[in-house]
This record gives sequence, C-alpha cells and structure tokens, in this order.
Amino acid sequence: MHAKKPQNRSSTRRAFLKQSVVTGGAALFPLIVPAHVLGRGGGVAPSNRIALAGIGIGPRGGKVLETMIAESDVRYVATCDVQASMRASVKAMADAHYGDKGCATYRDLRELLARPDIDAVLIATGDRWHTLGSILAAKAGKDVYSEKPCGITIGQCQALSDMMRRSGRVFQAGTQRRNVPNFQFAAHLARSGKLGRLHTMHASIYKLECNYSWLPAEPEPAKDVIDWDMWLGPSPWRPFNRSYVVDRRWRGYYDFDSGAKLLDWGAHTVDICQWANNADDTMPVEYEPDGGTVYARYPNGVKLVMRPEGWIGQAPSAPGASNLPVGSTGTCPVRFEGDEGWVETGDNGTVELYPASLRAEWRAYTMRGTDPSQHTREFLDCVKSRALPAANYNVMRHSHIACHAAAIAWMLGRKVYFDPAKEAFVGDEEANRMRSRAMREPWHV
Amino acid sequence: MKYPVLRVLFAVLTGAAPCVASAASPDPVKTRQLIATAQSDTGLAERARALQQLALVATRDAVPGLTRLLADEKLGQYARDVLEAMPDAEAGDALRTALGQLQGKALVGVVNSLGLRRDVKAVDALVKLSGDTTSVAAAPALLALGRIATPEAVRAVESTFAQGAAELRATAAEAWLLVANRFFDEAKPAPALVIFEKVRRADVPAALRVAATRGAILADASGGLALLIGQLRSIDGEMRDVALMALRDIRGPNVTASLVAELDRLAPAMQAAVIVALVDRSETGVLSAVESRASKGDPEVRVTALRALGRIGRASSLPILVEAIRAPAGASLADVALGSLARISAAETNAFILKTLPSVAPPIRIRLIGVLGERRAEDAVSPLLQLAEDTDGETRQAAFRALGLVAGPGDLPRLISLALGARDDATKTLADRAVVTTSLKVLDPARRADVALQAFRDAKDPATRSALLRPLGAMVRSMGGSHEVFFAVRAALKDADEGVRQAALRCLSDWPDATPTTTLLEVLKQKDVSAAQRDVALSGAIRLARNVAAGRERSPLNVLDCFVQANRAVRTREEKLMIVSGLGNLKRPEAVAMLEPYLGDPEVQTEAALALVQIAPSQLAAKNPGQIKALLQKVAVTDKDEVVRAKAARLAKGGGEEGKAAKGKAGAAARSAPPAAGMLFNGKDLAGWDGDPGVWRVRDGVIVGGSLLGNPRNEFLALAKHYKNFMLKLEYKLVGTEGFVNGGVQFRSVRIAQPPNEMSGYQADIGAGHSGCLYDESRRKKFVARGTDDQIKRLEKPGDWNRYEIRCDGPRVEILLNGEKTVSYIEDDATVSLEGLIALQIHGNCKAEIAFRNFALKELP
Repeated sequence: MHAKKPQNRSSTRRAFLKQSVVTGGAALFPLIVPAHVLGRGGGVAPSNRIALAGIGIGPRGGKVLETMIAESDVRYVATCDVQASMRASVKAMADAHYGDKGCATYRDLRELLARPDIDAVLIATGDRWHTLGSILAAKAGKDVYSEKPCGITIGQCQALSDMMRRSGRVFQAGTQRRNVPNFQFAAHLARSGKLGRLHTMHASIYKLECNYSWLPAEPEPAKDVIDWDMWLGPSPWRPFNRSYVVDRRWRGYYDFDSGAKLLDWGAHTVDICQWANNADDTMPVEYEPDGGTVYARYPNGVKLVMRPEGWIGQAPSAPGASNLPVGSTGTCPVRFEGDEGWVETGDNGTVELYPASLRAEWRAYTMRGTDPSQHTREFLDCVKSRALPAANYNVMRHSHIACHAAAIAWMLGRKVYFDPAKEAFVGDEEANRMRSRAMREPWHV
Repeated sequence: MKYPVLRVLFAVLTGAAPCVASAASPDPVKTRQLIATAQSDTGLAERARALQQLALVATRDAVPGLTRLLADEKLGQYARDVLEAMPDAEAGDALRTALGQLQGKALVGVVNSLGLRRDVKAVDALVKLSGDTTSVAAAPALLALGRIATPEAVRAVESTFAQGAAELRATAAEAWLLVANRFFDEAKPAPALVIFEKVRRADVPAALRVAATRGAILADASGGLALLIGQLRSIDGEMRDVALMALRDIRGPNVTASLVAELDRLAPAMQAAVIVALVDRSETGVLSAVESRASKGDPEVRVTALRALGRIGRASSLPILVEAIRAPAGASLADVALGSLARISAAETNAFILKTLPSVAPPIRIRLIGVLGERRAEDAVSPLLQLAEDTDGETRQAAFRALGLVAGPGDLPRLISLALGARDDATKTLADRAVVTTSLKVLDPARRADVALQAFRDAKDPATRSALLRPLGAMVRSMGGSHEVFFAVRAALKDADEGVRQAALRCLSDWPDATPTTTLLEVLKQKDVSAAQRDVALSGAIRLARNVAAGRERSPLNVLDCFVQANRAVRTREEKLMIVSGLGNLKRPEAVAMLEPYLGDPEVQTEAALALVQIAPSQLAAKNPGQIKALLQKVAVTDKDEVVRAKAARLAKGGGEEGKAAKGKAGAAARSAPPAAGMLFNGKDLAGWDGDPGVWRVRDGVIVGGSLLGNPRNEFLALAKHYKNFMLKLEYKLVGTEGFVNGGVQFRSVRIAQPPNEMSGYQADIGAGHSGCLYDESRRKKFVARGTDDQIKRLEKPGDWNRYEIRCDGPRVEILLNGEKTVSYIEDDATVSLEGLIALQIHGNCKAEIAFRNFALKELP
C-alpha cells in the first residue's frame, strides 16, 4: 500500500458484469429471487443453500465444480464416481473447503440420486453417461447441469430434452460460452443486424476422426476400486483397460465419444452460431462434407461452415499433421459474416471485426471462453427462480442435433438432408439408422 | 462448393424426398459379409465392429444370425442394436420371439428395444411380462407399454397403477405419464389431463407428482390457472417450484391479470419469485404491479421489483427508481435501483437523470452521474462536460469519470481544454484519464495522440504545455511509441520554461521504447542541468538501454555506447547503483571493464560484484576470459558479502577449467541462474530478484525485507521477468513495532521514477486489516477491491505465517488469504496494464520486518 486510504468499496466480478449493459443479447440479465424459497421435502431449507452433488467429477468437472462450490448459496454434499481414487479426491477437496467431513461418496449414482435432500446435480462423467445420468437425475427430481455433449446420439438428445421439458426440472448444458461476454457480443452483432444481412457463419471443430478399435484386455480390478461395468454404463461391452478410466483416454472412440469428435468443440461453437442466426428452434437442413469441413445451410439460407482451419492468425498446418483450430482469438473460434461486416472471436476474449466502428459497443475486458463461472451462477439462479437458463434443454437439443447431423454426413461421406420438424434425414435410411444406438441392458432412458 | 439450395429447400418444405444419387439404402452384399464375420470365430473386437457396421446397412438377411447372438453376454447388445434400428418387420418378429427365450439382462434389453420400436404386436407378451412381479423385466415391460400406447397397452398400465403390485406402482405411473405426454404433444389435452390428474394425486414419488402437476396445469384450459395458483400457495416446496416453472409456459388471456391479483395473498418470498416469473412471460399488464411494489412494501419484494424494472421498466418507472435511490430506506435498495437505472431501456432515461441531478443531494448526484457513464449516455456528453466545471469537487470528478466512458474522439478538444482547467490534483488525475481513454477510442492507433499533440503545439503558456505532457506520455505508452510525438516532446526540452523542460524530460524517460535514449544522454552533457534533471535523464536512459541490453526490446541503439556515456555522467551513490545494476544486463567484455572501478568503490562494491557474477557466465565462455577470471578471484576474497564471495569463487574455478567453456557455462548456469520456472526463490540467495541488497536479504531460507530499526521509504524486491496470467502462491509474515506496519505483493506492476523508488500497479496488500485486499499502488492509489472486515479479521493471523494466493487471468484478479477468496475483481479500465513485474514490498515509515517463503508460480496461457 502506498498511502492509508481504506475505502470499503468491494466490487465483485459478478456484480460488475451484471451492470454492464452493452454486450447485447436478449435475456442476458436473468432476474434473481432473493432467497431459496423452495427447499426439498416441503419446507424451506434451513441453510437456504442449494444442496449440490457431483457425478463423475474429473478435470473439467473439477473446474466447473470449483465455480459452484465458491458460491455461498451452495453446499456440495455428495460425490459419485466409479473410480475410488476420484471419489476420495473430490471428497477431500470438498471437505477441505468446508472444514468438515460432510461430503458423502457413492459408487453407484442411483444411490446418490435416491437421497431426498439433494436439489441439483452436476454431471461431468465421460460423454457416454451424460444423457442417462441427466435423465435418472430428473426422474429423481433433481435439477441438472450437464457437461457437453449432453447426448452422444440424436436420439439421446431428443430423450433428454423431452424429459427435462416434461419433468419440470431446470437443465443447463455445459456450453458456457452463452455466458461469456465476447461470444455474447459477437452473437449480438449478428442478431441485431449490425453486420448487415447475415450470410455465412463459421464454427471451429476438431479434426474429425472416429476410432473403432479396442485397447488390449487387462484383468478387471475389484468393483470398489474401479467399477468397469458401471464405467461402461449404456455403452457396448468391451474388455477392461485401465487407460480408458485412469488416463481418461476414451475420447475419439465411436462407442464413448460423439459424432467423430465434432461435438467436442461444435457443441460450443455451433451453439453460438445457432444463437447468432436466431435459430434456437431449428437447425440447418442440408449438410455436405468436404475433407475435414462440413458445409451446412439453414432454412433461412444462412450458410454454416464447420471447419478446423482458416482462422485469423492460425498457422497453416503441415501436410498430414493434425492442426488444432486455434487462431489469434484463441480456442473455439467462431466467425459471423454479413453483407456489411464480420466478426471473429474465440476463447481468449479477443474480438476481431470489420468495420472497426463496430467496436464502439465493445468493452475491452472479458473472461476466458472456458470459464464457466457466469454459466454456473445462472444455473444456480434458475434453480431458485425456476427460469429457463441460457443453455436450456431446447437450445441444447437443436444445436446438438445440428452437430450430430453434420457428423453423420461426414461419417457417411455424402451430403444429407435433414427435416428439422421431424428431426429425421430425408431419403437416407442409413443416416436415419445412425440417429440412435441401443443402450446396453439394463440401461434405458 | 455449390448449393442447389432452392431445389432442396423446396423438397424439404413440401416433404418430397430430393433426388440424391448417393442416398443410401441397406446393402445385401455388405450384409452377407458382415453377418458372416459377426458369427465367425475371429476376435471379439472384429465381430463387434462387424455388428456395428451392420447397424447401418443390414437387410433382413441378417436377422437370423443376429437373433442367435442376442443371448451372447458380450455381443448380445451389439446384435440388438442392429435389430432396434432396422425398419424391417422381420426385426420386430425376431425380438418378439426372443422374449420367450431370454432371461435376465438380455430379456430386459429386448423389452426396451421393443418399446423404442413401438412394436404394437408385442403388447400381449409385454402385458404378460408386466404382470409377472418375479421378473426383472416387469418394470421395463410397463415402460415399453407406455411407449407403445395402444389402448390395450394403456389399459394394462392403468390397471397396474390402480391395483397392481405395490413395487410396480411408481413405474406404472411413469409409464402412464409417457402416455399422457404423448397425448398432450399430439394436441389431445383431454385424455392427457385425466392421466395427469390421477398421477398427481397418487401416492407415488414426488418427482412424478411434480411432472403430473405441470402436465395438469398446462393441459387444463379451464382449471389450469386455478391449479397453478393453488400450488403457489402450497406448503410443498417442490409444488411451488413446478408452479413457478409452469407459470412461464401457461397460455390464456387472464393469466397475467389473475396472478397479479394473487400477488398480495402470497408470502413476500413467493411474491418476489412470482414477479420474476411474470417478467419472464414478457406480457403487458405486469408493469404497474411491479412499479407499485417497487415503491413501497416488504423490502424483499421491493428489491426484486426494483431489479425487474431494469428489464421491463418504462418512462413511468424512472421516478420510482430515483426515489429508491434517494430514500434512506436502505443501501441495498439504492444499489439495486442504480443497477436498474443503468440497464433500463426507456429512451427518456438519460434526460430524466440529467433533469434530476440538480434536485438531489451531492452523494446521490455523484452516483447518478456514474449511471450516465455506465449507460454510455452519449447524449449526455455536453451536460457532463458542464458538470466537469461544477463548483463541487466530487461532482467534477464523477463527471470526468463518466466522460472517460462516454466521450468520443470528437469531444477530445473540449475535454482537453477542461482537463487543462482542472483545479485540484484528484480532478486533474481523473480528467487526464478521461482524455487518455477517449483517445484510445480513435480507431487508428497511430492517430490517437493527434488532438493532444495539436493542443500541445498550439499552447502558448507554459502551464498548459507542461500539463499536456502527462496525458501525451500515457497515449504514447498505449501506442507503443510515436516518432511524431517524440520530436515534439524533444523540442520541448529547449523550452524557455523550466517546468516544461522538466515535464518533457520526465515524459521521455518514461517512453515505451528506446527512441529517447540518446536524447536523454545528451541532456546529461548540458552545462546548466539541475540535479533533478540529471536524476530523471540518467535513470531513464539507463532503464531504456537496459531493456535493449536484456533483450526485452529490439532496437538499433548502440547499447554499449549508451552505457559508456551514462557511466561518464555518474556521480552520486544512487546513480552508481543504477549503472551497476544496468551493467549486469550487458553481456559484453566492455561491461566487465566498466564494472572494474566500482569493485573498489566502497559505496557500491557488493552491487558491482553481483553484476559481475551476473554477466560472468557469458564472459567466461568468451575468447579471453582472463580479465573477468582475475576479477572474480579478487571478489571471491575481498567482497563483504559471503554469498557473493562464494559465488564468485565457484565461477572463477568453473571458468578456470581451460577449454571446457561449455561445461563451465553449463555449470555456471546451474549455480547462479535464476531458479527454474515455478521456483521463484532458490532458498539461498536472491538470484533472479532485483532490489536494494541493504533492505532485502535471505535469512534461514526465507526472504527478509526491512528492519525493526526503521524503514525510511517503500522498498521493493522485484523479479526481472514480466508476467501476465499466472497463479502465485507464497507465505508471508509481517512483524512490526511502530509506524504504519505494512507490506505487500506487487504484480502486473512497473518500477517508476516518481516518487523515487516506487512501483506502480496492483498490490495484494499485507498489514492489519488490509491483508487480502487489492490496492492499486501509485496509480489509482486506493483499494480497488476489498474483502469484508469480518472476513479479514477471521482469516488473518497477524505476526504469523499466512498463505497468499494471487490469480491473474485476463482482466480477472483474485486473491485468496489462507485458502479463502477475499477478492475477485474484474479490471474495467482498459488503460490498466495486464502484465508487469511481480515484486515484494516493505512499507516506509515504520519499524517492521517482512518475510516471504514457499513461493510457487504457475504461468497461465
């Protein structure tokens, strides 16, 4: 300190962001209710806190949970994992935070969900479990924040969305860029006509690939160390290999990942495009793969390009090398083009645009695109107010299904046509069969 | 890429299948090959893969083979997956046949698949299964019947719900809700309502009653609203929850009016929740109800209503919001009202605020002016410019603060002239900042300083010229340098007025690149130069040259020549210290020669020895290391500081291994280089740190700064590198007896010349009551974010070791004290640098000692 001038002016980030008017978008300022008037089991919860539980908390889940646990109106009461070491480490984190031993642990999510005192769950398992976990939670009367992709097939996304709509639960998909200012700003420019007539949108995706192989079989550990059958859950059976579980090397496998990895980033970037195009209730009607890119087109004529390359500041990839689609705006870039201007932005918060005058509305501060804190806060506010959050079931349904349709076009290597009302491919039985996969017994949704 | 878009759109819209040559159909040839593989005795993985491919292309030829695999413990599900997705009738036949042959999980799987296929022919068999309470498939069979939903299937579900086994009741209710929801989605609300009503009143798990209640509210056009209102009054929290949710979906002409009428009958907390839900309906008829509750009544409801006005308010809401700000009803009401006033979209808002200003007390006026800034009220620029000349100092400051947000490049001339007229220091600082932030809005960065530069050229009186040099300097720093401004400022060094000359000199010494270095050195050669000017010029020149020498800036500057010239000008101890520490960055033989005399100078001996040690590794590897080796040997014997002696001795020895320069270099690097990434402090000496060695030292493995005998001024120990995004952990202990016992951790900071020895930038403060708080050292000179007093009191252990964690990520700054977050701050000032030095501070004017240990630094991308 340089001089003694104590001033009691605390300013939290949230209060600040809530005050900043200019970033655009429709309901960017969800209203909050003063207290949790709800409470399980009939009465007002004595602590006035949301009792939260976590299922399958790994590295990403930990980051999301960190932002929830930091909120004073949350109490993290239970954690579930098929892996004993993860159960223990999440419990240790929570107990250290609260200074007690209060975090219960479970191997089987059904036991956790049977607890009547839990209000909401954070689902951050591997992708294969997202839909089933969310639906089981909703059936047990819990509100759900689920990491993306929320369903690994079109059928799962439909079942999840229907369940959330009908059960009266609050659902937030972990596509947090809807609650990150620079993405909101870019979508606002497109939605408000500031770019002129919108004609093309670009969404970054990983290099597409599908892995159908199995890792070598290893002896299965005891259930209370790693419950392999539970890890697999609704996925087809395959022999145990600890690498899937312990090293989390399940990505890219057709059985565990979704849509040839397209949804890894597409669930975020296509989602922002849907928003920018005012298309949260529909999706593109045609999808044409070309190399690693998929070109799609909306009913309103707007083109959507899902591509790994060509972002501002991105180094050209060496032949054969896989190139992470990262430009000078960071990971997960999106770009919107209209006949009077364009904007490109990504996870580091940089906004590139033309003409420069569009910048007048932009305030230079921002948060990282991977930061879920505003998104989780919105979820918690909605748990109390019962409002629809930004990435609600309907938003998730349409942006996820658009991604799946694009991935199916790429896997089939041909152009496909999609009917958004029927959510079915037109004149392509093979593509239609790819809309769902049977869940391994006894699991079903 | 061509898009036959019109044709396709037409086809999609009319429901006609487009003619697509490549459209796929099931493939009998592939089917035969794949089913053969699936049934062969090759590896499981190959068979599974064949089945997965079949799922896309199988014709009915595959059905017999698939049926045989259904009972397979490992591949059964793969086979069932193929059958589940096949449209052929044979697939359904096979699954139905399997019902009678399979048991356990495999049976459950087939039941699930039949349900998903909505296999009407399976109803009889499923009804039978659903009645067998001993079967694991009974519950799945009920759900399958709910999906298939033929009248017979529905009857079976209903009868289980009404009089079936107790353990199947919940599942039957779930299945029945599937039926109801399907009716509802198919626009048949009447049969749906019958089911919803029965389930919501039944003794089934709460989640099912909740879902049924939602359905009943929405399916009942006549009674749904009454049901909803009844649930809002329920003592059951989950029913209140679902009513609030349905409130957003329910349609009908009287909904809003009825709920508004209901409001007063609800408890305050529910009133607030209903207001929020009503606002989400975005219908008219809510505003007046919200406005009346925003003006009086229960504070909890008022807060919510005031907040809601930020979203739906109109011109009529403006007096209510201002009244809430004005009334002494409570700080939280005023805060919420201010927030709403900042967001409200009524076109009249800015004008209303301006009209209100004269009639409110000064503290409120200041906050309202702040709202104009937050609103980016461009139509308020002229009045704000007038307020910037108000008789009240705080009003002037608030006006400049708002102008910094609102003014555009076109307002710069007026803004500059107002800034020049600013009377007190606080206003002057804010005015200058408004000028600088407004100039940042000039689209072409190279033109940012144009208006200020023109004003500078036009200015006749010396006071104006010197006042303009400060914002000009800030603009140039934001531009990364400017030759045009440089020439103008350089010319001002010859100004007739002493004050202008001094300001120009200071501006040049803070320049962002090395352009003014030679100019600053020429100043030193002038005959009539004052001590103060010498001080500024020399420190500036050495700083700029050092940046180039250390590789922080690429420049054609002849660095060696700069150091030689600067060295000639050195007189006082402070100046000697500057040059010596600068030479520590110059890895040239000439630097060794220049350091040599200082090694014998008692005033700076140790510092010179440190600089020598710093450049020794590079010089020992050079062609002729004789001179430096000799000097190191001398230092190793004569220096006062034990650590320096040891280091010099090691280096002299290492370098002495002739012909093994590489090894010597590596060895030297290992011993004396700054600690590895993440390890800021090596526990032995201050390698990698820069600060007054008289103040900072290592004792018992911890860094210690200051003295219990007294600290005359602020002192800083800084790391050399600039850090942007990072997580820094450390522990500190502050012990003091007299004066303002205080210290801190600087980050994203710079060393500045005025006041002498200071740093400017963020500081995680350390000291009773201030620990855990974010202070802005030398810049805004205030706490930009604080923890609460209670929190700090609870967390801090005075006089003992405390854990500090500082996280910087983009504009976000967080501080954790002993594991708890005390500050989470977002920088809203675009001119604040997001990178800079990390440094430790001991405060001046106190008798205190500060210690630091257990450093860990992780840089973030």
